[in-house]
Amino acid sequence: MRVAFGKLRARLAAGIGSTIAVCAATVYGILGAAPLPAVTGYTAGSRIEAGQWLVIPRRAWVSEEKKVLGVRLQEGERALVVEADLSNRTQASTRDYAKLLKLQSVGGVSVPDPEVALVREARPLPLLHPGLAERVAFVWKLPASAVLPTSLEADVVAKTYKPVDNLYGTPGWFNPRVVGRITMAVEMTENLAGRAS
Amino acid sequence: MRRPFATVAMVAMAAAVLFAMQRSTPRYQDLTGPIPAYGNIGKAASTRLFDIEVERVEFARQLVGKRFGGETRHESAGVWAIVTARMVARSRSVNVTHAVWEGPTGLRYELSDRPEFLPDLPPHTLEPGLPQRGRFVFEIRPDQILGATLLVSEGPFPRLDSEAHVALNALPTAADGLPPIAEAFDLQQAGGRP
Repeated sequence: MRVAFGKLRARLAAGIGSTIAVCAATVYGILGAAPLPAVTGYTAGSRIEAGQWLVIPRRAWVSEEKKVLGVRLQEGERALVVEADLSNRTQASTRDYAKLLKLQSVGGVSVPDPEVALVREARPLPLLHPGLAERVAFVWKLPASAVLPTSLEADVVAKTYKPVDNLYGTPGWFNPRVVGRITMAVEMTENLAGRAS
Repeated sequence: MRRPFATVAMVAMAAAVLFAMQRSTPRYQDLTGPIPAYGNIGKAASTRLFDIEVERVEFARQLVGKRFGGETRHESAGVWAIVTARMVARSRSVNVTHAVWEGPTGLRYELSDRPEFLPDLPPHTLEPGLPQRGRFVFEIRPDQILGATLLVSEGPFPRLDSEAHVALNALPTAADGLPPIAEAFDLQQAGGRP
């Protein structure tokens, strides 16, 4: 009896690592399979705390002009514009806003990252300073084939602050995640309204 | 009977020492960071490549200037801070491209990218033995005016190189405790060349 117990102990000791690994994998598998929690919904005028930024979406509109707030469009392209007040919550001036809003596909076309312009001066890629709120426009260039939407949905993507990152040991903003979804009506110009869906 | 207790105590002490060492180890970024060269208003800061002496700090709600024949006007959600400094290179020509307005709480305001194509703005090309004046323009919050420091370096990431740290103290203040804030500041006005 004593010999068998000793054997069992030896086996347990030898296999403890694999046992823990299997259990951990099972737990993570169960957690991963769970449905994603519903994201918070926002509309125009909501205050959204998104990591580095405080975002207040204001309005959305479409344009066919050659140049929208300093952003040049190619022939046939149209611009879907979301205006928002951005306030830099970080310690330093930054331009890290290109991936802040992720537009859901428009009319079956996937959209690239937006270009961002300062509304005050129609200036692309503005440097935004700590604690100074500015009205900026996120300009998505849509191909001529895209059907213009009458309302849009955009995910707000926030990063998390790490005082010490794992690679260089420096502070920074990492791990983008969706913190909410903005749903807004899109204002049409009369010219475009006739052709919109 | 004493032995296990002593072992546990030693392990705990070793863990404490290791934890303290881990927490107090300077990071690579700190070890290779900029080396400050201190100065204040009226007292030059002397870096490896250039000397800089801040002469004036002015504040305004709007910036005006002429660009391509037309007038430009820059407004701000905060205030504009315009630093006029006298600079000279030490041993070779230097391009001073980078400056930061560091507020009293450590907020770092980079040079504003909005005023462009106007005289006396960075990058400042400095020559040895030929002092010249230049301006640095920042867009800051009004609560960052007092107790700020101006950081000036040749490039954007000074590593193991000196960086001028000019304390912007002793600003002339008005009745409300803040320096006077003008309605508009003309960037076109003379004041660049000495």
